[in-house]
Amino acid sequence: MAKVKRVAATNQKLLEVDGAAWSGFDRVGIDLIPAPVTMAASVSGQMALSQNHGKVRRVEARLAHNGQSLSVRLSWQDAQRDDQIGDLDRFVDGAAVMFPLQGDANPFTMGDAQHPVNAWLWRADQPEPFDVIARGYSTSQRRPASSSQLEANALYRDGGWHLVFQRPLQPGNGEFTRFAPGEPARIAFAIWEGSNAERAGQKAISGAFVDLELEA
Amino acid sequence: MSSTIPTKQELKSSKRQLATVIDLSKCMGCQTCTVACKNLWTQRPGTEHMRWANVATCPGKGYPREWESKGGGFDAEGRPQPGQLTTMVDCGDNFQFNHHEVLSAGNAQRKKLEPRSASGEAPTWGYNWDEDQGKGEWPNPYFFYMPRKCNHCSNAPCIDACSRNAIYKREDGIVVIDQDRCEGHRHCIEACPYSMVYFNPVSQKSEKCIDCFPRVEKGIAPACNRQCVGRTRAYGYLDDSESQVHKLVRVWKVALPLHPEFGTEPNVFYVPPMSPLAYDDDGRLTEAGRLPIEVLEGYFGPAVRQALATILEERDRRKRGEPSELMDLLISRRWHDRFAEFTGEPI
Repeated sequence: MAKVKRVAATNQKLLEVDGAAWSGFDRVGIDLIPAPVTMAASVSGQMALSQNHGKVRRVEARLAHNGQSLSVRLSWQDAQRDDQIGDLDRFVDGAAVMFPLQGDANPFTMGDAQHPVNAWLWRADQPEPFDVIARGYSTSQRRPASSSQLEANALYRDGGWHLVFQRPLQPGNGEFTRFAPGEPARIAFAIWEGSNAERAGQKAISGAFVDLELEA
Repeated sequence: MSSTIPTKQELKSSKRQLATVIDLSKCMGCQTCTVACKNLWTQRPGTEHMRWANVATCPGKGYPREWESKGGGFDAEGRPQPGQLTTMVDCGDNFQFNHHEVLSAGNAQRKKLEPRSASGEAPTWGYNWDEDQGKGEWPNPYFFYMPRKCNHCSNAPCIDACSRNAIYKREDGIVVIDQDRCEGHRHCIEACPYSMVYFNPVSQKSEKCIDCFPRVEKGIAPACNRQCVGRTRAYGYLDDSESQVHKLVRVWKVALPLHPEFGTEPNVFYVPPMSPLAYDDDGRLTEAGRLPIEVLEGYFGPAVRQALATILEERDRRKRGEPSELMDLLISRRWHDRFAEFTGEPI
């Protein structure tokens, strides 16, 4: 169980990766494992052959809400900054957090038909994050950040990435996970290491959902 | 909802199958197919390096460079094999020239026109870099041309590889990539043992030959086939018993898939090249061919022996003044005969 701390800082201050709003926060250390791609052999036989993905093995998370928005600040070590596709065989760094849309869902498969998941996806070469809805393998849909007022801000420094996701607790109409102060929530993490050709299901993941509670 | 997710078998199935036959004895490597395709499909941003239709010299590194050793396809048990991605340079690069420098006032006599690789360096590889090199020793060197495009395989590994289910076979057998579903993960490029899928770094999606389906839907043969000045190509449905492709592939069995051992069941078929005769040490022509049969077997498998034997037999029949349907098919006195119902005019 991890606490989502209630803070007085504005959305703008919380979007600052290096901002004072983030000082003095507990960091939640999350161990990552290579995503079990063999489970996805029926949707990509080629992807299921991957053996060396999941290079990043730990991510540190700080979680905050200010009554209006949920902010998730991630930090992880990555010796090589991959923020553009320099050649046809190159991939970029990325990160995502994922929530069940409601109730429960299988994080390994990104949900299923009856149990959708909602994810926030950041890619190092894109100006804006994507708000993703998925109902199992091969079904994910990237929606524009504006659809849920999702924002992201990233910084590469000293051999690592530092990234803040931020989204209203209660976005407008649509299939988005909703949060409320005093209520529980669940989160999962994924990191893609571009220099290791990680993309799609070739990634490092946190495995099971981590239970959260938003401070009242 | 889950019942609406298609299976790979559904994505791979089609009502019919369009096919192309290319007679390698007649291909002269003029690249008209390459240019016809490029003019139509790959002049958009991010497609500069792509040649959906291309011709390379065999034996040689091929196009994209060393595609035959990049893996992909299936093993004998039907299991997908790991493959490699191609690079910009492998795909023939996107040379930039110093036109502005050369054409600026007064420079024409001092500056040379020089290509620059996409890497910024002087090129060390490019499209058709090893053209006409081939193999063999004087006075018996050998080579032939290999025109290629997507094989629109019946067991298309790109379809199996796509974690987005973005690739599928149309009812006519043409394999296409849904650009709305593609997210550019490039598993299809790794899976294609023919390296005939390309990555567009601008749209960040994968692209490939679409067999000119907008033309085909109007009864016009694909541009690479139609524009071929050597009349090397036939096009039509494999199950159309009147079509040349049916007769050459199914009846006469003289048109063979390239690298059948890759297990993908290609639908581009090749009439293997006849060999020029070899010279002996005294410079006299012999009865032996220059092109080693083992080399052709390496491309087309063991069936190439029977295919060549059939062609030689029918050629001899014709030489004796007897009729030969096969020779008539390969000659194709009227170009219309090559394209079944796809003889419409493109303009």
